[in-house]
This record gives sequence, structure tokens and C-alpha cells, in this order.
Amino acid sequence: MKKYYLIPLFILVFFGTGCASKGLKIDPTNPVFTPKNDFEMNYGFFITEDERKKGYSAENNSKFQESISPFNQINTLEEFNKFEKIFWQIRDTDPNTPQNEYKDIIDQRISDIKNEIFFTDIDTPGTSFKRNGGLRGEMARVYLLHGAPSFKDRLPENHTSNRSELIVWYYIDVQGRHLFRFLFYEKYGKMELFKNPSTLFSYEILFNPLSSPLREISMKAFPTSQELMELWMGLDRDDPQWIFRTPLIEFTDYTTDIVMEGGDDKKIGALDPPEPVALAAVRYKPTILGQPGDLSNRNFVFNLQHSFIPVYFRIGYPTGKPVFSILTSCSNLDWEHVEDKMKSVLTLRMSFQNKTTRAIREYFVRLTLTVAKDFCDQKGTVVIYLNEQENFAPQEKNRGTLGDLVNSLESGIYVLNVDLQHVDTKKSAGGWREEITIK
Amino acid sequence: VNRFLLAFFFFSTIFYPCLALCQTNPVIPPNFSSWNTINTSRIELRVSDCASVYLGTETDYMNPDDPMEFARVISRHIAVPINKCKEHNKKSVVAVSTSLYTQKVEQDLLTERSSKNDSFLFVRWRVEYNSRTEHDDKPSGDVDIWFRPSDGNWIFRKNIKVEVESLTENIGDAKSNNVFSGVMYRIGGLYHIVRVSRDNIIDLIKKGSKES
Repeated sequence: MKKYYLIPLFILVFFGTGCASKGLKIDPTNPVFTPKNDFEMNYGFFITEDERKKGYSAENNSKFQESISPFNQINTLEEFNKFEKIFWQIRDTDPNTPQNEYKDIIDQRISDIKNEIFFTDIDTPGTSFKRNGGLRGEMARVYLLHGAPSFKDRLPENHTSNRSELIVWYYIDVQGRHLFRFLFYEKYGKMELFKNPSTLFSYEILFNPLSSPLREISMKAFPTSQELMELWMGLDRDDPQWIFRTPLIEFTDYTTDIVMEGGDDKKIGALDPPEPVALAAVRYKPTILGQPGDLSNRNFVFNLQHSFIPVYFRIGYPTGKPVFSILTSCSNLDWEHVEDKMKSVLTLRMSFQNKTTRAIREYFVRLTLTVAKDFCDQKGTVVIYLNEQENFAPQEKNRGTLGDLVNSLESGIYVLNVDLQHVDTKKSAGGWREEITIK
Repeated sequence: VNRFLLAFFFFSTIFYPCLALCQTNPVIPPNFSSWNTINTSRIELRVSDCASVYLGTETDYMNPDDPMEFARVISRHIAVPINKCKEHNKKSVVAVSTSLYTQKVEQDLLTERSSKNDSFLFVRWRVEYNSRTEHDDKPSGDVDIWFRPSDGNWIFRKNIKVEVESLTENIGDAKSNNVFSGVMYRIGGLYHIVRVSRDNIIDLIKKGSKES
């Protein structure tokens, strides 16, 4: 590597810290100046556009208890401390533990960079973060965002074909597919990140001095078509496995899901500040069905069970056709006080499946039970004769009653499934499954 | 004859409440809370790769005073149908990083539900050394069973088989459209079913097919 890298590095370091607080000039005597600049230096690649420009809005997101100014506008230590607390809180990958695993990982990466862990690396010896922009350089950016690559390799410069030194970092997922292929090339003594893979691979593009992706890895400032062709032929010899050439053409195996920079709702930008995990998780949270709503503002008297309504389900055959009833004690049900009464609303669903034809008939009813306030105190019993109850099953064309449905069943053996559930508390009787014979 | 039968049915239903609800000698199930928990698993119905219904828990205990004595307690809670099927966009990276968060939502709810459960089956047994297998796995003595069928009244039995059946239900007119909807625990002619409501399972399947 050439030694004139020191000049741009010096310029970058000199001006880098001064520019840290984009958007708002802060007096160096302000107590927030140093912590904010340090934060920008260490974690700047993780601050999202929204965090820089909009801050945290309690109105738009219930996760935030109070609104906090955008990072770029912060000019007090108190505001910065609040920002920093939320910043890490919403990035904690495992909310089940007291430590912040994400911050631990990033801090470890910062430490790795400062300790130049790749300088003595067997695959890419001499790789220095410090020489390549330090914590604000592109190499550090990739390392901070994604950690150590799954695979890395180095191709020394080739003066014959005028090709710069190349380093690749591959990130490979559990399926063995390439998530990201980062290619670094030497330019003026510093390793630059190659950011313009040519998605259309053709020799016409490859050897076009105006649009070829090879221009960037050429030692020549303005390579000719012939020089590009020689560079490619040199690569053909130096890189028979296409380890260094593939990133020139394709950044990832997941081209529909991932881009290098500038992601959007559909695509991840590999170099974009990652969306805080707590905010991303809102979109990925599971859908949970069938849970009781908030009953705290309603006046309920619950039974002694947490999930269960003990009920007898009785099938009688007084006239040959089955007659159904349910029976339970008042205290087995959940009741809501409504004015001077108590109300319990249950849904009852029954299905009759013919064992031979497998044809199904459905019955559904919402049973609203209303009793006097002292009914349970008097150890009242609830008996509901179901055959007279109207059928509200949407599948049944002719509604009628349960008795009508039973009468319309063809003779045969049926599997009867019954499900009884409290509408509000979601407690259920569990259900019944019986075989009945219709004559 | 019909009139006679109707009258019989009428009178039987008048007296039935007492026959059904009045227990002369109620069975009181044991309490194993002072025993050591050796294993807890969830009663789960897998609807698809990313949708499940959690219905209860099975917990195994060991008597701290007699390490050869064990108990299993089956409990139910309000069914928790969970659909984790999401769009494939960004799935490879984001879904992995958010999985702990989504798991936490799920785990928090399941923990809450499990803490408010109703036990309906207790089985207690002893084992002794088995020279054939060289393990402590030979049944010894009676197997005691306390069981609470859907009517809510506990019964006690000895050395009887508890049958466990998966329940399926047809969720459409098509003959083959059967899905798992619950589990039935049966002792003789008595049973207790833990199940998910039909509406929830249909929703779960619909959402799964839309989003996965």
C-alpha cells in the first residue's frame, strides 16, 4: 500500500469530529459537546434518519413515554441523556434480560476496530481500520453494522493489468446463501468500498470506459477500453473462482430483498442504519386471537375457574328424536351486573356430521341469560332447553330452530360436536363430542 | 306412549339438576405444589409452520420425600391461538432480529394464561428398579387418578387408562377439510375436552394462508 494515505486521513480526522453534530453548531464549552460528538463518532452509523431529523414522538409511538428532540437538534446534556437512553432501549435485542445485548455487541465491535483485529489476520494481513478512516470509515461501517465477515480474502494489486489491491468480505446466512458481498479496493492509499455493482453483465458494459464497474478498481484514472479488457483478463487469471469478480456484478443473493444502500419498505439497505428492533417488531408481532377484552370497567361476578365453565350437556330421546339441554348451577357461570339484573351471554355451536355421507349441518345460537341479582345466592340452577332455540348458523339456509334442524336430518349416525363459550370472558365448557343416532 | 315418554323426560329433567349437581361425597383432588417440578410442556396444536393454538400445560412432579413417586397434572387455560405468519419481504434478516421480541409477546401471554389455569387431571404413580432395563422405570403399586369431566365434578379412579385423543373438525363443506381443533381426555365414558373455538381456528388458517 502506498504511504500517501496519511494526508486524507489527517484531513478526515481533523475535520471529522468537528462535523459530528450535523445541523446544529454546539459551543465546545457546552457540556453536551463531547458526549454528543463521541456518540456520533461511535454510533453515528446506527442513528436512523428519523432519529436525526424527527427524534422520538410520544404522540406517534406509545413506546415513548415523552417526546425527545431529534439528534441533530439536541443541545443540552439532559436531552442527550434521554435520547441515548431511548436509543439503546429500542435496540435491545433481548428484552427478557437486564443487559442490553445489542449495545454490548456494538461496543465489542468498536473495541475490535480500535484493537485492529484484522491487522494480523491470516486471510487479509495488514488490514487496518485506522488507515481506512477509523471508526467513520467504510470498512468500519461494514464491521460495525455486520460484525466479522463469514469469509474474507485479499488479492494483491497487479501492476501488469493495472488492477488495485482488492479485499472481499462475504456475509453468508444459515442456508449458505450470500447475504452481502462487500468489495474494497485501494484508491490513493486507502481502501474504498465498491458501491456500484453492474447488475447487467455484458462485455459491452464491462469494457465501456464510461460505465464499466472495472473503472473503480483500475489503477488508471481514466482507463481505456483496452486497459479494462486487460484488467478483466488479469482477473480471469488471478480470480478463477470469481470470489472478487462476483461483487462487481452482484451484491447479494437476495436481490429482491436487499440493496447495499437506500433501502425502503420492501428492501433492506445493508449499509443503512438498522431499524431499531423494538420498532421493527411491532410489524412482526404475532396475531393473537380469541382473548378476553379489557373487562376492568365492567362489573363482573366470575365463577371459581380461570378458563372453564362446568356444564352438563344432556341428550334425551323422549320421542325418538334427540332433545338437547344444558344444565349448570348459577355459580358456574360468569355474570355481569346490568342495572338490577345479572346477565351472562354464551355462544353455543353444534355441528352434526353424518358418519356415512360426511355431510355437515350447523347450529349456532347466542344465549343471553338474565336472572335476578340474588339468583346465585339462592343456589339457582340454570337449565336451557335447546331444541326451541332459533338457529343463527350462517351456513343454514332455512333457519328455524334446533328442533327443526334435528327433524330435517336424514336417518343415520352422526358425530355431534358442541362448543359452549362465554362471549366476554372466553371461558368455555371445553365441549362435547357424542355419537347420536337419528331414526 | 309418546305422552308417557314426554312426561318421563319432563320429570327426569326436573330431578336431573340434583342428580347432576349434588355430590354426596365430593372428591377433592390432591395438591402437588410442594413437590418438585421436573418437566412442564404445553398442550399445543400446530395449525401450520407459523400458527399454533396453546390449550394448556402438562406438568410432571417428583415427590421430594420419595424420589420414586411421580405425578402428572394436566391443566387448561383460555385457548391462545397465535399466528406468526408474516410477509416474506425482509423476512430473512428482520424476522430473525425481531424474533426475541415476538417471542416475548407470545411468552408473556402464555405465562399469564398458564398462571390462570384449571387442572382437570391428576395422575400419581410409583416406580421401582427394573433389572431388565437397569432403570427406575418399573411401575409399582396403584396408579391413582383424579379426573374432572366437563360437568365439573371430580372423580377418583385407580389403575384405569386415561385415553388422549386429538379432535379434528371439518371447517368447510369439503370432505377433506378437517383440522385439529382440540384434545379429548377420556376415562371410561367420561371426558374433558380442551379446544379452540371454531371461529378462531378458521381465522388462524385464513390469516396463515394470506400472509405466509
